[in-house]
Amino acid sequence: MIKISVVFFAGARDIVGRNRLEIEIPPQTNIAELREILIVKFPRLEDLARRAAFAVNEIFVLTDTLLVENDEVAFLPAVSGG
Amino acid sequence: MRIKLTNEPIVHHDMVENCRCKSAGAIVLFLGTVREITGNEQTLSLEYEAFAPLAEKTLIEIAEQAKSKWGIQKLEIIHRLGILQPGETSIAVCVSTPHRADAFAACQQIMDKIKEVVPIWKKETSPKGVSNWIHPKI
Repeated sequence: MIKISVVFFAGARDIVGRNRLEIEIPPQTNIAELREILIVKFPRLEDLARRAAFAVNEIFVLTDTLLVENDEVAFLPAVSGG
Repeated sequence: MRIKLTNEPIVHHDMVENCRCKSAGAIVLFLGTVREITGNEQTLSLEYEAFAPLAEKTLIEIAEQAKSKWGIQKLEIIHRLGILQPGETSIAVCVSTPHRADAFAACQQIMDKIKEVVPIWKKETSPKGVSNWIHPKI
């Protein structure tokens, strides 16, 4: 298993109940798989998760991006700035 | 070029003066302000939150792309964070270009892009004290 952290914002943070989560995931897990792991852990996150963007170490990534030890994933629900 | 996220009120007069230059024939300033009534709903306040490092990086990318596309001479984007009351400015975009059509188009496109991709979110609070994060379903 590898250890990563996930940071949450706005409505996602309210659902998860904290802004940072340290979790262990299998090696070779990609973002799409992490999203499913998070939905299982927090079922109410599903609607936001399906429409979320993701960043790893402050860079936007696609869902096939593989995660490595100590990555910081940002879970970015649909944005509403401006 | 100045890109900034701030918790302080936005002073847009300074932005206009900063964008003034001899090579520009037009300056366009856009202000996004907090609207009190949307449909039948009243807004008491809006709270803006950002994933600051990525929001700044993304704003810079949007600005750089617009700069080369529209021949922008000077450009400033300031986004406010924290709790805002109706009427306050949440975002200001100011650009100067040689001709006005480009300045209008650039401002419009920059705003469209910001609302689409920059990791900033707002929470709406009603007079009854009910708060909701806004996550548009596109």
